[in-house]
Amino acid sequence: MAMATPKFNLEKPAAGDLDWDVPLNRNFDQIDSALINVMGSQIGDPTYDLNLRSPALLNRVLRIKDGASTPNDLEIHQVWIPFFRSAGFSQPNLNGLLLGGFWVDKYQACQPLATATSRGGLTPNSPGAGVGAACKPHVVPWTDVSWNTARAALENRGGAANKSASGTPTPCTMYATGDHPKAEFLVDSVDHLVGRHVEIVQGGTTYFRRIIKAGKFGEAKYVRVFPELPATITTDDTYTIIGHHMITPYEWFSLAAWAMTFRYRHGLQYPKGNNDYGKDIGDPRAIEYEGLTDPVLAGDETHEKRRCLTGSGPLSWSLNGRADGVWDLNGNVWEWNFQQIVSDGVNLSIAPGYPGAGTIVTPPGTSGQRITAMYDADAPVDGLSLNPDICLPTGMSSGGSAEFGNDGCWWNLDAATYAADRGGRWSYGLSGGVWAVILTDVPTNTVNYRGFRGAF
Amino acid sequence: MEEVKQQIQIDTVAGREVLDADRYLIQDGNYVFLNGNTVVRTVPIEDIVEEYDEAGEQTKGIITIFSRT
Repeated sequence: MAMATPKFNLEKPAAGDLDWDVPLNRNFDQIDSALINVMGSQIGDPTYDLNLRSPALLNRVLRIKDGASTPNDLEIHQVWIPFFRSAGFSQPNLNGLLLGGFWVDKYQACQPLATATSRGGLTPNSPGAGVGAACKPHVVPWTDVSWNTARAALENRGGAANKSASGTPTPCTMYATGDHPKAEFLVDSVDHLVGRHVEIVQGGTTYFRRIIKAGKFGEAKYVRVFPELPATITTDDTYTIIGHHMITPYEWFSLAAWAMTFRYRHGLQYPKGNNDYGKDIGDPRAIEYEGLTDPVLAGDETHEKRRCLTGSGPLSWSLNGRADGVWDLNGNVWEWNFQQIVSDGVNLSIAPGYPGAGTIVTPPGTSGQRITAMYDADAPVDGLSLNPDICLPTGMSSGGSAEFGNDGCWWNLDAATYAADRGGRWSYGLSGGVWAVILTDVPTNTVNYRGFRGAF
Repeated sequence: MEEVKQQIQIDTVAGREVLDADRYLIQDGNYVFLNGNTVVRTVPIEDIVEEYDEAGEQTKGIITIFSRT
């Protein structure tokens, strides 16, 4: 009988010869290597083998309205980041953190009617009252937008239903029998539990917090936030719970730490991205490594590509190296984060109301250097710590650390309030990445290399 | 002659150079510049001089000045 033509032409794996005289399971590593080589050759990416073993992530597509007077239809692709404990960092206080537990936009945000050739027809920084941000693959990202406009566009998702009591601040009810009086309260109605992001006004200051627990034995209206507030929460304080919101440092840190925990510490790479004019700086210049050109900001006189369409690069640009991951966390355009920093001309500190408010966070070294350590002053207790909520570097050097992707940090000490943006853009090379952060932009700043991303 | 796909400009303590290179990595305290898989230049990290203007644009350091596919 003639031999059947093999489907794949398996070459001898580099890891060693197959030994047909031993049980099959002893050959699994070699067979795995051979299959990986075949898969890699099929997509032209020799690094693809590194991606095959990353965990899958749950996806969903929301089709909801926004809060405009004539509501827009929003298509929103999101990825669930499950709860996990961080591991693999050389700094002990960055390990054992309880992270995840939220939906995050799969791509950088876009306007409701964005396409592969158009931003979507709205003026980027004045899109109109109530307009919400969408999130779609292979479209022009929403850039040229201030921090406040970006925040509003995300919180406009779902219209009034995105906030408890349609956005009307509601008095907190004290939870008298609890153990955390500065972090626990009861909502007025379980209908108010619309999300995991909450604003609590106490003593005239608005505090932005994450909800770490909702509901308790015998008390469905129970809420616990982190970090705790300066004083016991009373009926003098008000809350507004928010569903869709701008990605927070905790959420961004969770994504970067996911990459460490499930990729980097196993010898896999951090996510790549458009940090070198359409490709990753670690890849050669070839079409299979590039994203698709964004025609609204195409190449210039000396570069064929600059900004790319959302989620249009190779699989290596996804958080888990798979189609079901979070895309473009490295490069393409910087992304506003829900974090503000104040400079008094000498030092940077977390702005009032934000987690860790008042903490001095001036990085050592020189702006533009690379990260060697991240904030770790708060030892985790039961997985809880301020470290991910601050998510800023505390060590810098010229070369940085591979543990943090050799990513960079930039800051400005001129007295002002700045908003953090993370990830990098198309020209930052090795300095861009999931750990990269820039603290030089005031919230009103609008540029064609910065966009934003939502979470829920 | 093979067409140049990418050029990277580097500023070092010795001055400015333009490399026919399309990628780089950090290895053993050096920047290693490659064209495809061919190493074209190795520079100690501390020899690279970086500068940014007020808009955040890098004016000195490692800059891709030309790219095409």
